[in-house]
Amino acid sequence: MAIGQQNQTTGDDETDDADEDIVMEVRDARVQFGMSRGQAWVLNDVDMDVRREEILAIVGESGSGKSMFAAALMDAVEDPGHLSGDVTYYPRETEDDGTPSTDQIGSYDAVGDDSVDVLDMSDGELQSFRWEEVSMVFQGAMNSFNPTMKIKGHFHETIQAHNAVLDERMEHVRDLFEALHLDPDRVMNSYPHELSGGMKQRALIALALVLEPEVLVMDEPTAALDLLMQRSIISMLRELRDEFELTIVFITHDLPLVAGLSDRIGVLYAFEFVEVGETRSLLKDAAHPYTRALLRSVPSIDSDIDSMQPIEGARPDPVNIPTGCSFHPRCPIADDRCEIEDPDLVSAGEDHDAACFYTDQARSELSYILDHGSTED
Amino acid sequence: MSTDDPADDIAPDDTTTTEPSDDPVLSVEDVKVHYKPGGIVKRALTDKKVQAVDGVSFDLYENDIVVLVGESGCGKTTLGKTAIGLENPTDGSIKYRGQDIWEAKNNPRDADIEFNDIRRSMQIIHQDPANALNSSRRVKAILSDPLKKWRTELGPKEREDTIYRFLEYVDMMPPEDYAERYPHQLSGGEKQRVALGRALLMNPDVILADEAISALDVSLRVGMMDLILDLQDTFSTSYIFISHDLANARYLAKRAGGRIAIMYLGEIVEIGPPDEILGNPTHPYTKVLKWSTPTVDPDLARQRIQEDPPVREVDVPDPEDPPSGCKFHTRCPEAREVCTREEPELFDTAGESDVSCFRALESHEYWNSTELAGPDDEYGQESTGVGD
Ligand code: SF4
Ligand code: SF4
Repeated sequence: MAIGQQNQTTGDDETDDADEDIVMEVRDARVQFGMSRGQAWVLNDVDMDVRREEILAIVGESGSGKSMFAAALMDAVEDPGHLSGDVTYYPRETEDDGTPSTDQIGSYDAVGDDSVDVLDMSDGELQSFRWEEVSMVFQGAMNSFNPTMKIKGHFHETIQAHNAVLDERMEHVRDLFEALHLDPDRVMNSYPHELSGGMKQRALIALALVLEPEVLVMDEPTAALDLLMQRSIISMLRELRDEFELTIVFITHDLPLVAGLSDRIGVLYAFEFVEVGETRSLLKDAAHPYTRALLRSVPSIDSDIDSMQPIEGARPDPVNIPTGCSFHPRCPIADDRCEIEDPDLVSAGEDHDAACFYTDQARSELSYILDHGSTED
Repeated sequence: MSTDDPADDIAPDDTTTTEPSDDPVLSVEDVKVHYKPGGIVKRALTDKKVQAVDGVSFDLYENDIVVLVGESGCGKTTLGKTAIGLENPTDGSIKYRGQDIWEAKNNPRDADIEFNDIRRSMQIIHQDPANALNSSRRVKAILSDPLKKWRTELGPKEREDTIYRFLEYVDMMPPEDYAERYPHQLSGGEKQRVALGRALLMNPDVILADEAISALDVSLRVGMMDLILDLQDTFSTSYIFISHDLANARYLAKRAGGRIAIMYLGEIVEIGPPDEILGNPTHPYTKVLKWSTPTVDPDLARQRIQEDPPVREVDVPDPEDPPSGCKFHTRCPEAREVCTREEPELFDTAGESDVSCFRALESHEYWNSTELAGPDDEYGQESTGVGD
């Protein structure tokens, strides 16, 4: 399936396009915590389709639920958090007979057809699933290398733990290193402390891809790096996606970081997606008041500094999420309806949905300016 | 927010009276800070020195802001700490209102201003407020320390009032509520505001803010910068701000009428007002940093993601073994032969900035020098970068 392929369906039903090749489907994902002050909701009945070979950015502030969403994709929500709902993984169909090959399914059971119920796997199945099908790179994970082991040792260990063929895998690693602009001989024979932060992070991305997963989930993978290294890694990720037919879910608080990288963006506010859309449409013509406020708050190097404004009000408390639209206490155009009714995600353009009753009004009344004065008002 | 002048209730002595003058509050003069490289064995075996800061000069005036920008390992934190007297320079001097601060420490009898007063006048806010605030103490206790030390005349009630007032200054309302909290009951932004409040309680003339907003969400940064700038007006404080992000640097420097100083391997390579630095960057390294700053415009961003970075090498060279000549020559796309052996000084340019690159000079040997071999392979040879 072509990348950036437009979803041709318009209308309200955003998810049931039969032509879409979905690799992961999240339905009613909910994560709750018991806290001394009461039940905390950190993911609130979230739906999302991850399309095969897309780069999907999940953008939210701290405490918006974005890391919970990442954890939910891999059934990695930690106790005492409890995850409910459905997470389904669809392995790639093999070209000849349309059924998944056995090595793609690995050791865990497929439910029904060719889909995999991620929340119903045993620990052992999850362990292989997390490297062989959906792999993950965390923020600051470059510090997770064992300091006394050469980089090579980490690769060997992972390959052996999954009973994969060493030579074949190491061959693949050479390709990965090339795509990540790493010198294999030098990096493999180094100890972690002998490498710069940027090199370690790239080596870690290669490690996450060593067993050729379909999906790579990255949670703030470049946050600790200098901007030049960040930008370089961002460019490399697009190349990696193209070359290795990857799907990437990129989680961040930093909208500008993903403006050029992602095909689609999902904006989380108060543990729910408030806007999901094709990147260009979402950034140039944001429909949700929160997204518009977020875009207005971003410092940039060329727009008028007076156009940059902080978002008024405090972020929602997970124990006490506002009734109705959770953004209403901070929303400049909220009315009585917003305090009572909770808006669903509805179409706000082609391949673009927003959870707001008044997207037209938001678009006409709440202005923001992208760089270079390409304005929206 | 209260409208009284906060200096009224804080001014502990006469050194804080601000008289309008053009004299710098702080003068950094040709400062060098050299270290032996890390690791005990390595340290014993080598004569090599890391030149963390290598001959930097700048002045900071009343109500001024200088934002130091550069990649990790460029020496910006070391320079900042040295400038406020937390580190001793290997060479050069730091003058606070004309008084050499290390002279004040070493020869207190000859000093016009006492070393302790100088130290109190220069405060620091760290990047990670969680580490800076004692997790086992309530906000009230954290904020009462500086008062107990510097405002001994205050009774418990006055101390409490002062704490509440400062919590209000940093927008933590209601203050009675926040005063009773422990750091873990605060968000990242709130912790950073407590740290700012604590620094301001000392009524400092200079605050070093070391990546003070980098740990915050992008969406909270403008708000925190606005708070800092508002309080700068209220308290007449000057700031040395350290940032790796030009967009934040621009916002601060533009709103405060300050300057941006670009640092590379221990040196300032370009310094000037934000419009000049961003609108008309002269040093090739400034151009790299500008190129690296992400844009939120999807068309531009998509176009830029295809471009190769304007450097011959992405990684910073090992600061223990800096390149000869112009230190940027190993990465500079404009480097010529002369750059490998001659070191440019910080030249005054026709524009408003000072630039350490031969290209800023109309006539220089550079223009007839042979170009270095074109860009190596796309990302160049990589070298081991060393963290800040
Ligand atoms: S539904 Fe109402 S409160 Fe919510 S974002 Fe839209 S206008 Fe604002
Ligand atoms: S002096 Fe030469 S190497 Fe240094 S920045 Fe200028 S052109 Fe580049």
